[in-house]
Amino acid sequence: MMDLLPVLLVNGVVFGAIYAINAIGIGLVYNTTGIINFAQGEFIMLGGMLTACLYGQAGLPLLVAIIGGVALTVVVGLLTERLFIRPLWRRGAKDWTYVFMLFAVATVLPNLVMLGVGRDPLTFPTFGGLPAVQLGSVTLSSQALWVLLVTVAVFFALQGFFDRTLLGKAMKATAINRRVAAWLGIAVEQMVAMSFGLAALLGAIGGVVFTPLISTQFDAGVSMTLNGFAAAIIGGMGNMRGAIVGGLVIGILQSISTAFISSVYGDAVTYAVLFGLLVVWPHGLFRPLIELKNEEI
Amino acid sequence: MSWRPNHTQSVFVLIAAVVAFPFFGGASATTVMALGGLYAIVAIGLNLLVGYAGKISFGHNAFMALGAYASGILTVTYDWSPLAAMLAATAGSGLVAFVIGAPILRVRGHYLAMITLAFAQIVIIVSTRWTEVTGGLTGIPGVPDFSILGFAFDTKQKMYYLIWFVTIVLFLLSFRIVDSRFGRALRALGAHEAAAASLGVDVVRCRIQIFVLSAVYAALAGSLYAHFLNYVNGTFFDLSVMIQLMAILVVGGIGTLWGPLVGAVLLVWVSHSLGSYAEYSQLIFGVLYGGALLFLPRGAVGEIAARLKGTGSRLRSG
Repeated sequence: MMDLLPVLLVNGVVFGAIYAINAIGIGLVYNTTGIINFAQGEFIMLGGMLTACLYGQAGLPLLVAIIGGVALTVVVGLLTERLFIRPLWRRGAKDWTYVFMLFAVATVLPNLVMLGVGRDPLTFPTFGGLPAVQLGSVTLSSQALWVLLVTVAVFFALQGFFDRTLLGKAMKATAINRRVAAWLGIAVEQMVAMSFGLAALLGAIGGVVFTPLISTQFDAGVSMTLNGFAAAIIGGMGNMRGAIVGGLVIGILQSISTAFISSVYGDAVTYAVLFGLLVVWPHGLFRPLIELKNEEI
Repeated sequence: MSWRPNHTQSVFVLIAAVVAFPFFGGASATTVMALGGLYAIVAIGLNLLVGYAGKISFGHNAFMALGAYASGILTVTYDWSPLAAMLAATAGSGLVAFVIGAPILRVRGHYLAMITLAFAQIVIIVSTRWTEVTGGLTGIPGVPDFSILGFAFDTKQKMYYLIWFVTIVLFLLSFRIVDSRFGRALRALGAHEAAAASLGVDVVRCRIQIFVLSAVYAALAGSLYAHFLNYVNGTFFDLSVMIQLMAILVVGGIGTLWGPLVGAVLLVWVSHSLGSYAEYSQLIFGVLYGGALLFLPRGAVGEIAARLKGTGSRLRSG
């Protein structure tokens, strides 16, 4: 039993990376809008599915298929904001309306994918180009290494974006106080659109690096959303460093519970832990970037 | 001068329509309308939660499942009387809702939505896999007909009347709730939480009460469902059911008393007419309620009420 542990840990870290990316995506939208993005997991599914289609059915080279898949997912993210969120925003809709709307998006997207592509899981080849790494008794496959490297790269790229660029700072300002940001001349609506675009970009990147490991299918999004949300809760909503820690905690927990408790109830265990966490630490182990204010959504 | 029905007249028209329907509609239409009544029961409870307390649950399909399974297991495996099983099922589900809601509803934001979604996933996973107790994918066949004091509701038509009797009682109860002190507190809460709290509304307690009440409604509907079909199966209560419930709320009109009833009756027919296109039901209901959120924010009932009042349709709400 104990000799399994290193393998499970490494597996958990790799899965944790995807949850971390997801948690960061959920946090980005939450920061600019105060909305929990119920469609975040769908971006992961879309990134993987679209790339797999472009590669497998359209016969494009892998790199082109990846770029295409990511670009299309970002377009979907931007359209979601433009067509479904902004109209509600402009009419000053009540906050549950956004949650309902994003849930509708999370319902319709996978069903459209099912109609277009079918119910079968799809995948595409591993990227290659990186060696497999031997860590003691455990082998980290080349694709798993890609997952980890891309997650780290995404983390530092986003940090640089928020700390160094004017646009990033404007988004951060919007996150901290929307009203003051508007007074300072920041185009808040555009920041909201940006946050949806970025969230979709993150999701797509996550989906693309992860799909060669386990494949993906039309209904993979919901559990991705829930796991990402669990990671975001542990890490404190919108806190990027926290999201990484949260992702790893959930990933490792899931990997261990699947092995030692039951593969059938693996997801159930995660959800139970998520529930327990919310009961004990409703605000996570790390501080959220912003506390949700009452008069704003 | 436009004629406006008052509530009493409307309720009498409703009762007359419900009583008369089986005589004109025929057997299969009556079965569909009975299902509409079941959905209406859940929607009435959810409407109190979303429309008046401003909180969201994506897990009321799971409370229906709890009610149905509890009734099924207690009557089939343990030979309880249907009424006792129903009472235990609804009370138990209410307790589960309390355990979930009490900690989560202390927290701001829409954590309840996410938690109830996770809860529903767990319930569906467990109900289809815990074969020894729930019968797994086969479910629980042979659930007895519902009976009270020896009177058996042994036909679909009798069940139709029972279901709609419960629906109308809960519907009228929702009028009472909304007009009560508790209902006013609830509406204050939905409108502006801080203001409500500063006026002495115990915000957290109010929210928990309404969440538990709505879960009890859902469990009651689930329990009736089990006796109506004489069969329980986890796939009856999957995510599609929740999506249909949300469509009922939004299309009917969230925060209007008649909305859930009208939505349930309308959409049960949409669902029924899908027939062999049932595969697309999630897609259709998703588009339907997403579209309604954008273009019919007050729902059918809210829109009609506004027109009857003569305030026009330009008022913005929702």
